[in-house]
Amino acid sequence: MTSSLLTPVIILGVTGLVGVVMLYFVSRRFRINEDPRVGRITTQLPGANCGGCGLRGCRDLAETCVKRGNLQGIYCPVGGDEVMQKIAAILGVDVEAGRPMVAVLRCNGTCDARPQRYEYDGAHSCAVMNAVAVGSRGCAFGCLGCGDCVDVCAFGALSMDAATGLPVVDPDACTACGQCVKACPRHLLELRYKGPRDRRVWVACSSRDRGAVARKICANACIGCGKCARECPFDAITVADNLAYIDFEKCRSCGKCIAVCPTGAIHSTLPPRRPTTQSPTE
Amino acid sequence: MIIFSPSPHIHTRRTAAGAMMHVIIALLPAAFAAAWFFGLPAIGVMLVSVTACVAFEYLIARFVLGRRRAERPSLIAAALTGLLLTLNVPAGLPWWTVLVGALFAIGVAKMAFGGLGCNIFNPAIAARVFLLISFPALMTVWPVPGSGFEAVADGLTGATPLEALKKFGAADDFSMFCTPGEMFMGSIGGSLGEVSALALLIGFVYLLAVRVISWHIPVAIIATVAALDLLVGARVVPNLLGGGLLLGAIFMATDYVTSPMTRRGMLIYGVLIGVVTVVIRQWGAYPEGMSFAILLGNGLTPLINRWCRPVRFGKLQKEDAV
Amino acid sequence: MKTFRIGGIHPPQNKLTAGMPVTVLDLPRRVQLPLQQHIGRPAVPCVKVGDTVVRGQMVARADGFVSAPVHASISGRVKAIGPIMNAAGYSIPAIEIEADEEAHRADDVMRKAQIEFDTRPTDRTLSERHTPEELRRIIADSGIVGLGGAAFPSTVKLSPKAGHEPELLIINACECEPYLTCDDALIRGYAPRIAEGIELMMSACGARRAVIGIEDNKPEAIAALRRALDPAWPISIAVLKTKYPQGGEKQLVEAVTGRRIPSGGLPSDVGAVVNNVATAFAVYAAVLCGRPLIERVITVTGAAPVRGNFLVAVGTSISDVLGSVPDDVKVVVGGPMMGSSAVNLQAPVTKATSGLLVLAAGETRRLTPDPCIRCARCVEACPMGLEPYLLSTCGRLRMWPEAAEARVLDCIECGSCSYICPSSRPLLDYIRTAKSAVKTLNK
Repeated sequence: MTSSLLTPVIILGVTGLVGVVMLYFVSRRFRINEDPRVGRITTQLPGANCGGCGLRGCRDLAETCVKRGNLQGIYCPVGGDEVMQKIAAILGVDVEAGRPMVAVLRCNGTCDARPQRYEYDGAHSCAVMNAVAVGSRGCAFGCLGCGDCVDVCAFGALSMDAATGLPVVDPDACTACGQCVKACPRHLLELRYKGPRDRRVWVACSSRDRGAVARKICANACIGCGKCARECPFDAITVADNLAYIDFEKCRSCGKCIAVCPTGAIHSTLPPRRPTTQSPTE
Repeated sequence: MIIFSPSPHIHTRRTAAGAMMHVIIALLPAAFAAAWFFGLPAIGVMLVSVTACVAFEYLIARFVLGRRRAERPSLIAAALTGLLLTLNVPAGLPWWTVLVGALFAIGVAKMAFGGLGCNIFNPAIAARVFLLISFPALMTVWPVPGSGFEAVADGLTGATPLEALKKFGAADDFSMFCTPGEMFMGSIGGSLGEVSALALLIGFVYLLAVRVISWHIPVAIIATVAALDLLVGARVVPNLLGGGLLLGAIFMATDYVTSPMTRRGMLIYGVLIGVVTVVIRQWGAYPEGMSFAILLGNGLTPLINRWCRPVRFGKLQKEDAV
Repeated sequence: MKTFRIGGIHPPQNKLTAGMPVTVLDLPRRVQLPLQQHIGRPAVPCVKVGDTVVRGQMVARADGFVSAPVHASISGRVKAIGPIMNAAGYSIPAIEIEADEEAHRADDVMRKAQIEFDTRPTDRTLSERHTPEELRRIIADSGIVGLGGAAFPSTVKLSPKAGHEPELLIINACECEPYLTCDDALIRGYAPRIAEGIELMMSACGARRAVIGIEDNKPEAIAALRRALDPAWPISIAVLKTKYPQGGEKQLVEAVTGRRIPSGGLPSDVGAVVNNVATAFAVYAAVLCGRPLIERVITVTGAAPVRGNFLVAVGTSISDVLGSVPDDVKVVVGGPMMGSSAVNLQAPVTKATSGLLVLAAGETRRLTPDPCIRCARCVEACPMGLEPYLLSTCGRLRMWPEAAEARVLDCIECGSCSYICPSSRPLLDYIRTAKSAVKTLNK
């Protein structure tokens, strides 16, 4: 009786002992000495691993700034200044406040302005469609509407609007990580300054077709007429390749360009000033 | 309006749903044999199981996973699972047990893993093993076969050839128990679908003819079992024809989702299942080891796939340099 | 019978225009000549708007070695040099020429005479007048590119590095794409001239032997080649078992020689150079008749109003060739497996266009994709021995490094996986995305 109880106890005990010894040596052999600050910084970071900082993920950012000992050129767009302050405190360095950014869509080719011309029958992906042809709406520069940007957004800040067929950015949820900018095969999403009191103005079109051609394809297209550039008091607007571009470093969000645009291609988050202007939508 | 898409612009007419329909058709001879030997109630059990599986699939897809629709191939796959499940249980299994099996097959073995194409284990086999472990008494009552769509009236039960083999060993008494002819035609005790080797082989030929499966897995399993039986001195014929080997090798182990992708992988997988089957039958507690062997093979399939990549065209130039 | 060993599929042949001879399509009144009809740098215009040009005159010169010049395919006046829309609807630079009435009639007469000459018996002494360098220069100046579809400048292929002369010239006459019959028609009509073209190519690249790889579904063309080839010549015919994609360069080299080109390698790595049969004909026309590449045979097939194998001037618009097409169709430039789908029918036929296929919606519309059932049909079909299901998933989930590791760059985009998938999954669509992303990352 004793032996029948003893045998399993011995077997179990010996197995356990062997395991303990093995674990001990393995942990000794493979121990990695890590700066404890890396762990502390990592816990401060959002943990989305979106790559918005340009590094491979949150842990990479933590390791990089501990290794460098400063925060120059490192910025977590998702966590923003708040998180950067905390990291700076852990590292014991100062940090400059970054200007918060947000993604905007540089296309306003809605279903009404740009009716469907061809029927697409491939995989539901903008990258695929872009490689085959100009897209079902006939514009070689505009949104393809398959939502690659929506798919890659880790923060749920993008959604497709069924009425317009275009993606919509939720500026409160957007962290400016830049994944959508990379995902869009036509580079229609751009990170711009959020602007003073969330007021920003941008050209919601990317068409470099000649004015007449662009207009024929899309009623809302920028035709490169240059009226906005002449109107701008701050020299923020340039027209190149039949397309106007507002430099967000110079723009003061006065909104004068919006009123003169003949096609309503300039969008803004300004409160509507006059009832005559095209209602700026986002 | 002009249509545009990436190439290719044409597509084969063969669909996944079609392939599964072929398997169901290939199972009809076995289903017919089951009805012939165990009476019309066998058909009733099959219908209950098929209906239950399809219903569970639909309900889980719609209301548990919240999908907008249940895809057609998934529903046909569920019907196939239901049919395979009944062919793997003894005649006279109470209908509620079949329902439990169907719920396990669809709910746990398939949908919990993500539905069609995502399951690791063959749902029908998983459910059979689940039933065997949960209700061992019910799952090992084997009615004596009748004939001409009539079950034996007084509920007589007997042993399967493999059980007899376990009991008699290699002694000559086994020859008295049943003849190879009986095992080939199917008038023996056993699960509904496994009794008639003839019906299963007809299904095998059909599946090969319509190119739904390749010969690799079934042949590897059967050849391994035969060779090992010869080696350890077991009786080859009852081991091949008397149990679930043919049903498992032809219909269960060849399930696309849970079997390896390359020909080489298929052969390894088949040999593995064959070896495990023989080991369980010969030295294990169960007279039948096919289901466990297939489950084990299913579990190893991802590893086999990783191991047996397809032969690639052309050498890597870097490899040449090294 | 020989064929390549890994993978491959057997789609229905649908060679609706088999047996039809090459029909000459009238010269159009207006042509658009894209400056880049080839792989490499675009050509540089050497005429101005308003210039008068004659048929066969160079209107844009090659820009560097890997490039090809463009020649006027009709006589007339340069109307514009600027952007036009290509078949995909994107804007590309091109030269537009409008026909001059009188010159147009002269062109017609000249063209008839040329075609008549092509069908006459051959004069073999002509081919011995040129050195390899001269031959390559003529081929380059004539704007000859690979006519199989990739449009790689032929001189580049025919200019081996010193000491690395190919031992074997393989002529690709497989035409493994369903529907297409333009090479078949060309061989049946002009086999002796193709043989001359092959000889010229051999002396241009220094190959001592040539093999014509042709599938066994073209018995008439095989017979025509047999008649045209003298058994004493170092040109032989390899009849191959029909299987798609036999016309893929790597597959063809394996089918003919049994040797496999290494991953990322070229035919020259196994001592071969591959050229299309239509390119051989173009070489003949350029060297022996002084005609640059300004027209080619294309197959017009499917639900097109008029089907046939047509000799078409480069730059003719697709709609001029097709006539009116019904609604709800797909117009494919090339074959149904690898051809690209056109949205702009005003776009021109280029040197790379091998066919125009009109597919009715019912024939071509894709089924809704079902879940992957891991049946491994795609793995069996892949002629490169890849795992398309895996590559496609990597592409869909944007896992570029994993795709690169699974050798996505080996993919030849033949479409066998998408064709065979029983769940109708768009495998190649995503593999192509992964391929271009990996290429960009590697740069």
